[in-house]
Parts: sequence; C-alpha cells; structure tokens
Amino acid sequence: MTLPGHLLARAVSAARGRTNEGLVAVTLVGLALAVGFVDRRFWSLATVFNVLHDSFEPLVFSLGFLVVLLTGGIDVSFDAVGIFAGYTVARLAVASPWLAHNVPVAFLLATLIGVGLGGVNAVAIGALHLPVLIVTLGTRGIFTGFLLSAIGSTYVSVLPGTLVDFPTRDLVRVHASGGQSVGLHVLVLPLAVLCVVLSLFLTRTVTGRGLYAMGGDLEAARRAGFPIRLIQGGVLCLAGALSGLAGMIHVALIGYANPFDLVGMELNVIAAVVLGGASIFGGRGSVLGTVLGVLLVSLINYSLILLGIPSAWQRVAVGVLLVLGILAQTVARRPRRRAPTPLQVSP
Amino acid sequence: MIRLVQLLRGERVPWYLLGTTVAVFAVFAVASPGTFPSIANLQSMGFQFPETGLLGLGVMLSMVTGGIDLSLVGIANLAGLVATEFLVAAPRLVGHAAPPALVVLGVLLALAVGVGCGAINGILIGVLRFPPILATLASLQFFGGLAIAWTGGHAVLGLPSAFTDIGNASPWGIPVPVFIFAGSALGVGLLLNWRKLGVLMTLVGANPVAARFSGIRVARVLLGAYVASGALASLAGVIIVARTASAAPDYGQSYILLSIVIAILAGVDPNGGFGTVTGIVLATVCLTLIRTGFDSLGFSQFAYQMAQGAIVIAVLALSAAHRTLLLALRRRLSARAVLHRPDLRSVGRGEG
Repeated sequence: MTLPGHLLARAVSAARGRTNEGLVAVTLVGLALAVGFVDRRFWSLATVFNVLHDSFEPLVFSLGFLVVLLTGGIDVSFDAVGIFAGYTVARLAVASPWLAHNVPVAFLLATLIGVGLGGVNAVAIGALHLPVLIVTLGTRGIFTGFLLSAIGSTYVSVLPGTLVDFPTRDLVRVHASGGQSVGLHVLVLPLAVLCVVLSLFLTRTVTGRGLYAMGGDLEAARRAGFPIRLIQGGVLCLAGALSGLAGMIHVALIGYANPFDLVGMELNVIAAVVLGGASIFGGRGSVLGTVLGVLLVSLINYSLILLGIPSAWQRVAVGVLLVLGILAQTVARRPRRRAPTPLQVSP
Repeated sequence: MIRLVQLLRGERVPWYLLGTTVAVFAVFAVASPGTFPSIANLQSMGFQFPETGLLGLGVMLSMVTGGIDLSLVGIANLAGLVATEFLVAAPRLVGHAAPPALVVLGVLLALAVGVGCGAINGILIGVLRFPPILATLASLQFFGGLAIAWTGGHAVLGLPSAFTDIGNASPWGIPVPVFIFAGSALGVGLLLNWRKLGVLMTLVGANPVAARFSGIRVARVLLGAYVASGALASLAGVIIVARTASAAPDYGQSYILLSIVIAILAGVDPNGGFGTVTGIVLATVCLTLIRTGFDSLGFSQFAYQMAQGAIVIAVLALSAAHRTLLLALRRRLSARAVLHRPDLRSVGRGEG
C-alpha cells in the first residue's frame, strides 16, 4: 500500500517546516551519520559536547543578526560591538577585582555595553533615515576605531579573578576516546533559555510579530498600526545586547582578550543564519532554524578537523553548502507551473 | 578627444565629494606642510590606492545593476595566487622564456581567473536568480577558501623582479598601479556610458521588472556586469601580489567592507541604476588622503578607522539633507508660482 501522492507531499512540506528547518535538520543528521561511518569515534557524547561548545558564541551573534534581519535590515556592526564589549569588560576586570570575581555581573555589563552601542546604531538610523546596512558599515568603523585608540589595543593574556576558571565550568564531563575528558559547559542552560524566550517573543507577542510584519512590507506594517520607529530602535538595541553578550562569551571561553579578534567572522554568522532558512530580505526566519544553521556550520568545521582534512577546506565547504541551501530555498519558492491539485482529500 | 569627453558626459561630477577631497588635502597640507604634500608621499599614495579603487569600481558595477559583490577580495586573492604559482613554477615548465612574455602570461592568467570567477557569480545571480548578496557571500567563502586550501594558509614567495615591478616601479615618477587604475577607470567609464551593455546594466538596476518586460536579456546583462567586476578584482589581485612580492591567500579582509564604503561614498545608488566612475576615483583618493594624512600627523591607524566610519555617515547625511532641502525648496517655489499666476490657480486648487 502506498501513500497517496498529495498526502506524502503534504507530510514532506510539514516536516520541512515553514523556513526549511526540516531540510537543515535532515542535512545535519545525514552529515553526522556519514562522518560517523568514516570514523566511529565521531558517534559519541564528546562530539555533541564539542559541537555545542563551538556553537555558543556564533549562536548568540546569529540570534542578534536574525532579529534585525527579520525587520528587513542587515546589521554588519555585530562583530565590532561584540569585541568592543568583551574586550572592555576584560580590561575593566583587570582594573577591578570585584568585577573579576562576579562573572554574571561581567556578562551583564558586556550586554549593557552592547545595548549602548546598539542604541548608537538606532539613533543614527532613526535620525538619518538611511538603510541599516550602510549606517552600520559606518558605525562598525567608529566602534572598532574607538576601541583601539581610546580603550586599548594590547592583549589581555590572562583573565583575572574567577573569569579564568570560566572555560572549565562544566555541568558534566565524559571521557573521550583519546583519554582526555570533554565537558558540557554550563553556558548551555542560559543559552537554551535565551533561545526559548526569544522564540516565544517572536512567535507569541504582538511586538514580535511586528518584526516579521516590518520585514514583509514596511508600509503595510505602518498602516497596520505597528510602531515602526520604536520597533526598529528596540531591535537594534536587542541585537547590540546579544552581540555584546556573544563578545563576552568569546573572551571568557578562550581565556584571553584580543581586541583584533572576531573581524572577518561576520560572514560565517550571516551564512549560518541564511542556512537556517531566514530570508535575506526580511520577514522570514526562525530561532529554531538559526540554531540548526549554526549547529550545521559548527558540525562541518568539527568533522573536517576530526577527519584530518586541513581546516583551510572548511571555508570551501561552507561556501558550497551555502549555495546548496540557497538553491533549496529558491527552488521551493519558485511559483509552481502546474495547476494546483484539487481538494479531494479522502479520509 | 572632444568625442571622448562627450561620451563621458554621463559622468556627473559629485561636487560635494570633490569639495571634501580638496578640503581634506588642504587641511593636511597646512597641518603638516613638510611631509604631506611631498612628492614621496604622493608617490607612496599612488602605490596604495589603485587596489582599493579597482575593487571599488567592481562593487560599483554590481551596485549599478542593483546587486552587490562581496566576493571581489576572494577573486583578487585567488587570481594573484594563480599568477604567482605560475610565475614561480614557470622556469621549470617553459624553460627560460623571456621574462616580459612570462609576466604578460601571468597577468593574462590572473585575468582569466577573474573572468571565470565573475562568470560563476553571474550564473548564480543571473541564471539561477540567487540574491546577489548571498551568491557572492557563498562564492567569497568558496574562492577565498580555495586559495587558503591550495597554499595551506601560507604566503607564496619567489616572484621574479620583472613582475614585482608592476607594484613597485614608477616610470616618469608615476607609479605603475596608477596607470592600471587610470586605464581601468576610463574603460569602466566608457563601458557604462557608451557601450550597450553599460546602458542595459543601468536599466536593469533601475527597474529589473521593466527591463525584463522590455525584452532585455537580464541574465546576460548580469553575467556581463559580474564578469567585468571579476576582471577588475583580478587586476587588483595582480597589483597586491606585485606590490607585496608575495601571494597571501587571506590578504585584505578589511577590503570587503572598504570597497563598499568607497562605492557608497561615491554616491552609487545601492538600489541600482546610478553610479559614476568619477565618484569612485574621488572617494578612493579622498579616503587615501585621510589615511596618509593621519599617518603624517602621527595619529594611529585606529583613529583613521574611526574617521572613515564618521565620514561615510556624515557625507550620506549631508547628501540626504541636501536632497530634502532641494525638494522642499522646489515645492515652495512651485507653490509660489501657482499663487502668482491666476491662470494656474484653478489647476492648483483642483489638485489640492
């Protein structure tokens, strides 16, 4: 007995999700299976922990990029905001022992710095009526330049206080095959909460739907009564907050603060968000898709290392994957030529 | 000559940018009269600005069609690397041919790489209808990744001096890169204002739907635009490799955004349909003047980065304010014209 064609088609399209999440998930699982067949060491809890660990920082950057992208803007200042916040907090922690011993305060401070810088973006965009991409191109230069000339351009090689123990704050540890142990970092909990809260905000609140409305059609959203300017300003501040948090995660996890870090990784973040099914024109995208996109990129990088392929090839791999991802999206969105199947669904 | 000038009449000079450039030069010349306006300083600028200018021209061509090209730095690095690998291996491959012939071959090879990479972009965008920003983002990863994977991330050395002259010699006191840039700028200017392809590019950028319905083969036009910008990027790659005497696969990451900054500063419309070569040349020169001016005053490179961002926002805000002011003024004037001419009053009332 075979399933009727249209039922199958409907099941496939439901599994695929509104923004291709299903497709990304299938790719993710398929890749994991394929790599595992080549190297059995791959199928282990250690892999899961490692891939999650590699995803923390890009995930938070990606979520910040996503919320602006949903409204139809492209914010390219996130890496500058991130390293600005992370490095500034590291310098402050060196100066003040109190801050160095209160890790949550350090993270909060970095987030607040991010909100401030996002506010600068919001004011510039609101006052000048210019596209987000162009204004953030300018402000990222201002942020980086200010960081390096006014705050510092030297390396903080060892983080002070309890920050130095942060990379080893694990929930559980497992022993990997090589003899070393791999831990699941405690960050996984707050970040999971962040994802859930952000997802609920985007799908269940009027303001959250306003982001999609703006990205879909700005004029229609304005006439529907959404406070456009307010939402835009708020979203830019939210993106700043997430970028600041991500920058602090970056600094805290690698254990030193280099003010020249993060530049050049912006394209990886954009690639992950787009792979996760978000439309580059705004109005379409989801937290789940973004999480999957980030995990996919991390998994590829991790597998290439495990398989002994020079890490240089990871950029090629991400490029090819991005082309395939966009191809899947364009094919899916191309108008169907055939007449729609009549609604003769038998029970 | 007059004919040439007429052909370039579409090149409206962006006056505010010209004013800014002259003002910047004057300020730094007064601030550091000993070092800034010297021949040596101008020459060293002449070696620096053509590579970013060429990338700016490439970005402009893609923006004129309503797209954007993020992959140019990747193409430049890959093209420079191919030329370098060829010239390093050439003595073994072809024996001892005359160096000038080898150098020409190397440059042609780089150009071929640029054209090929541009064609890939053009096919992705024109035929498969990828959004340009995504297509070139992916191809940037791909081209840049190929270059890194090929060399394992190391710089390739050992270029013959006949080739490094392209980036270091200055016949009649003018650096060779300036000649390359001037030639390319003139070529792009002629392409945009004279050739059918250039006009079609502008039309596609101004209104892609109208262009499609008027029977313009949009895919072909886009292919042409991205091939041209790929070729410009490969020239930039040749200059970079020759000037630094080595091919570094991850050179110039900051150039990606810098080339867009140049295009925006030059007044190119990011939504497509408008862009001038004069604008690109002025924007490149202006940014280079500020950079070297900061150097001669002893400011850090980081202060320059800050200034660059501030200038982009200031210039855009000024031109936006200028436009609104002009619009408001025109509206006031036309309203007054209606008031002062009784025969038009009924028309005005009818519309109101």
